[in-house]
Amino acid sequence: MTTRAPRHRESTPSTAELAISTRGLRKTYLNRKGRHVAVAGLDLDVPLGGVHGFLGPNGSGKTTTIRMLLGLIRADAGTMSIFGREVPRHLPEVVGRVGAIVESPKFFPAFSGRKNLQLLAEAIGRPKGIVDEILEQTGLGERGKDKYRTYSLGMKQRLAIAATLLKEPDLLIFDEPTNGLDPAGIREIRNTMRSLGEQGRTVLVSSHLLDEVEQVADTVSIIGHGRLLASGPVAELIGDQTATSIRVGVSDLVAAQRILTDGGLLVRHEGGLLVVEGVTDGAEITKRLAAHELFVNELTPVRADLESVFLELTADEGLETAGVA
Amino acid sequence: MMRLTKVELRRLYSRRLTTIAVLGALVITGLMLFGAYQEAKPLSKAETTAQRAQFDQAHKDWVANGAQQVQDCLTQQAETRKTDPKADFGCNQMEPKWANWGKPEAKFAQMMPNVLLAGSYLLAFVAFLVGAGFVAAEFSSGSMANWLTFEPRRMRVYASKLVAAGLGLIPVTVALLGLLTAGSWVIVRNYASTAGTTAKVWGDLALMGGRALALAVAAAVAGAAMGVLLRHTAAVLGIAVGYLVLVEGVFGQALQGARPWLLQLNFNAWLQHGATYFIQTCKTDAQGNYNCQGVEKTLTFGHGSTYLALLVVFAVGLAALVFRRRDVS
Repeated sequence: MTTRAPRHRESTPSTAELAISTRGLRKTYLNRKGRHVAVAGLDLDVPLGGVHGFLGPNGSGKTTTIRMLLGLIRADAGTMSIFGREVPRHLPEVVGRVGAIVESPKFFPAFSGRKNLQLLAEAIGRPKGIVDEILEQTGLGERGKDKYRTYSLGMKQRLAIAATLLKEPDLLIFDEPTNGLDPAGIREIRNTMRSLGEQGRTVLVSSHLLDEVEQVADTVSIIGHGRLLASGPVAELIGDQTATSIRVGVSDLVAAQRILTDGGLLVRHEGGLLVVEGVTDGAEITKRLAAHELFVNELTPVRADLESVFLELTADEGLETAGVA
Repeated sequence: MMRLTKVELRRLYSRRLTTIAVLGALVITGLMLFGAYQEAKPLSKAETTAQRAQFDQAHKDWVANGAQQVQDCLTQQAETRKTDPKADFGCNQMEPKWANWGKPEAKFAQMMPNVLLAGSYLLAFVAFLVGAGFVAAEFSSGSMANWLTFEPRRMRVYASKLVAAGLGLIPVTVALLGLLTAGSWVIVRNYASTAGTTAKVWGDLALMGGRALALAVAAAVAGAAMGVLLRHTAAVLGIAVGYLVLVEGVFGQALQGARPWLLQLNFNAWLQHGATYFIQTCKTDAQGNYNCQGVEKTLTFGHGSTYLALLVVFAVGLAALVFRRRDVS
């Protein structure tokens, strides 16, 4: 099911089938410049299981939404539920099933990684032994005894993931998890998220990085200015964007371009190929070229990626796309 | 709640600021004991010899000129009594006596309440600092948000932190007060006099120690509440020092009517089971002279204890309200 909110919303699954659901969620901040609407009536559904991308440019309300779900900040209006339980009222009942990293990892800098985890484990009544097990599991076994402040950003992020795993959660919420990481760290975190999703857990990953969401997420919700712009499976969302151009390989590029242009098509060079815009049917191109005894050796529909989806959606909404990679 | 409090206690004792503050308090306790030693120790042989020489010289002078000095004194006294009939220049006590020279012998029963009072102030400050830093560090490091994702019931979290701050300071306070008392006892017994240390004296000291302990616990809880409100240890310290300097030091002295509401005086009233203070009352007499007199006032134990309790309850209540409603980032 692909939802292009608010225009194409289809039937809404019941909250019992959802890990997270929000309706009409709203949060306004007061600052020196006046009122700033961070979340403006957000309807968000995160299905159970798999990785769900929560995509939007910086300042679009992703972190605010996550904070509201976790009871860290109060919503001005709207309803939220996690595993069908209304939050924040019933958050204590479900919090044991939810692991979350909100923005950057935050622990006591003067305590070791192990000590930080031990305190959290004790607070939720988990046995002490589990801490070393999880440190090993997240590759921090060697550095567990070192002070948190000496950790690299990647290690801090791993410790934060370790902390979420203390609860053996069914739902993991990662807010911009790869911010500031080096390429190896990014790959590692993305693999971890995918692996957690494949274990049957629900992973909500908030990101402003389109390629990240495309790589790790099964489903995605795109938001801008605190509102849902679209949601659905990543593949369908991209699939919805029917190919609007076709990449053509041919021996005589100049002749082929002239023929297609004369036929009223928009053609440009890209690498050693032609890209024909505004065409969805490859047969039309092969027919025209073959009539002039030019035979194609490559014919590839150019599939829209999330970036183009996002740009289209945000253009519709008149949103800024700065910061979107 | 119990589990959370145990975790918070473990965190409290693992904190470097707690260790530093306790070590600092230990060092200052040592300095206070050194002060007690200085007060209790008798004069050295050299000091005694010097004092004796000064006494001999004064006595010699008295033998030669004493009668004249007494006569002069009586004349001046008589002159003064024309305007102040009650004037007493102590002319009959002018003869130097060896008993009045040198250093009076320290007595444990008289010395210890003052030592305990100073120790109580120190421990209350340490408790306030530790309590404030304990909670404020969580906000300033951002780990409060992380903590709340594990235990979202804020009032439980809040209560566990305040209870841990209060409970955590009890062993430290008891140990340091015990060290101060035992150390002072040993010093005074070896160098001065413990005579007159009756069961009643011990009872009074024990009660004062108990009140000092309660004050330290209250200070730790109030410090933790301030930590919630201000979210930075430095901010809490800044407010505390600013208050002490401006309100207690400057305005408190200038505005006599505000004195019953000053913390220090109420601390004294609580610790010493009542405290006295002086205010100046000035008036113009019949001759048109403007005279000022110091008038002694009493601040009762009830006033001190009620006022301090209300302050702590207010701080704890306000911080609870703020913590319950505030967005945590």
